[in-house]
Amino acid sequence: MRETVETAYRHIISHRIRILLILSVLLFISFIMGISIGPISIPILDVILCLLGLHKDSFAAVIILNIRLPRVLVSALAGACLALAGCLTQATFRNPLASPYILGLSYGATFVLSIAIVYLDAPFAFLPIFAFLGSLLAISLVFAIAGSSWDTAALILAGIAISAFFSSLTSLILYFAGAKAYVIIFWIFGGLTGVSWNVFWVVFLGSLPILIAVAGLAGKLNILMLGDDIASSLGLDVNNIRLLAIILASLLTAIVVSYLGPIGFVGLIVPHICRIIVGSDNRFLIPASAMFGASFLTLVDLIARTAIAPAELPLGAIIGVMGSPYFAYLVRNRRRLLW
Amino acid sequence: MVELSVENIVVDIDGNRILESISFSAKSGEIICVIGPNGSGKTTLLRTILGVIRPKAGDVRIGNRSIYSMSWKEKSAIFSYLPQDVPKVPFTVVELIIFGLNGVASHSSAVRCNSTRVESILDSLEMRHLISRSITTISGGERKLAYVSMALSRDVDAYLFDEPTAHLDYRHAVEVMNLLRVLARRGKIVIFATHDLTLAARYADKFVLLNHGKLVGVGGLDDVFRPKLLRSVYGIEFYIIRKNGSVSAVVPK
Repeated sequence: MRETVETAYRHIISHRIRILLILSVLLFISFIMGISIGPISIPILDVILCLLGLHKDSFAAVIILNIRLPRVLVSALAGACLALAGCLTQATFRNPLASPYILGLSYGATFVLSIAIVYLDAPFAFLPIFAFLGSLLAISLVFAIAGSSWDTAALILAGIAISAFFSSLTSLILYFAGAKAYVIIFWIFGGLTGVSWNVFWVVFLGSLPILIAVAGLAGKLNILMLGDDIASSLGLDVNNIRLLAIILASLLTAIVVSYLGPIGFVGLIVPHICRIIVGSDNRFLIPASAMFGASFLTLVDLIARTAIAPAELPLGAIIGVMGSPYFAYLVRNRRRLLW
Repeated sequence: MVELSVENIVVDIDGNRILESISFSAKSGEIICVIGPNGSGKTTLLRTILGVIRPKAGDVRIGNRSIYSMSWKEKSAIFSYLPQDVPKVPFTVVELIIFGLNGVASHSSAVRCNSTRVESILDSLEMRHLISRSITTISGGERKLAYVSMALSRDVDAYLFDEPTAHLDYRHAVEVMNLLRVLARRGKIVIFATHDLTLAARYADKFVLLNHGKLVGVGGLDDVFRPKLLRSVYGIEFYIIRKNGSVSAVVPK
């Protein structure tokens, strides 16, 4: 039987829906593992009973509800935010290597946040505003230098220039920060140590509307990826959508950087792996990346807090160690990139 | 009956005059071919008609409305555009076609297409075996055909194709031109730019000859395919070979 457009498309869609279901199972498993495993391990059954509101008064429930649950929820949300920031920058710059970290967004955010912490004594809940200004500044500069020209070299070089610029400025601030330098250095390591319900609520309320907005933008991002002229001819207001995507990517990065520190490479690795398994249609790539990013960060955080327990490894450093070779591999094999 | 009129458009880019007072019109059912040497302004002209470049002076009208007063959504119901260089995107051929059909309205998995028409385009261009392949893994010519399929599948009033046959072998080039002719017969406006003067002469009803951004010839075959005019524009002599009264080939001497 010959394959028609409709049958071929249906085939692709049903395959992708199956993958999304598998990823949701993976998310559930990593969520339960994240709560169950730790210095004191809690049986999975107890975890489930506790989450269902039973077993409220046990010792395990105290650990779960006060320590592990907020931490796992924040790591999952942060993973989803970083992965979607990557999807947004990759569609906007039409380049699979464009991620918030490589473009220097995290460095821009770190720089402005350092000023806010050292010189302005900014209150906890306002940190994302400063981080947002920093990311927006960085991404605007990268765009001014490299544009959306499909030119990987220009993009990466612009990212290097911006990252170097902002990390040097951050070093200068640290140099003159005195005792406050410690706060910043600890935060630059990146991690979820001591994450509380307060952090969860700020991250949750801040990121939820943005995550929903990104999902709503998915179809338009597909069109944007076809190039400005084709996208315009298909009815897309290219400049507005690009601006919106850049703002949303900056907001997502800002929320994560403010409370978890500059965690790199999630926005590169997660969308890349998801693109291999669900394709590049953003209507599937975005939910897939959100779920996989959430699972990924939850599992890496699990490693961070159990590898040398009771001490913790810095999450940002672990992901950096994993992410840098992956990035190098992608650069080296960029001809085989999906794009 | 739709009429597209290009009225005295002047385009400056980065302070350079790219197009100077270009005027012509196209009616439903007409195939207009834009010809001229490299850098003569063909692509700029098509992009100005599409509305992605705003002219410094002049206007492009569909009926009585200026296209520059329309939203992108309104324009998308009028124009289908094929760029000269088609991007390598990580979508499959079938996705590309579906995205083209749905445009910005693309939501869920709605397949809103005139399937018989799309299927016949795929068959004519021999693209069926490639529909599940990624655009990044097919050849340059096949990629061009994928975008041609997408642009042809859309049901609009005017088709703006920038070098639709570049990178294509003769057979596929002729197939693409035949499909454009079918669209014109169904009352659509077709405007295409090309360097292939033979295809231009054989398929177009009207010609717009540009040189250094100026309109140096507009009209039918006999108005534009004059040896002296072509020589002055291209700087070389041409053989204009006629068979049974119509031009069958235009080749450099």
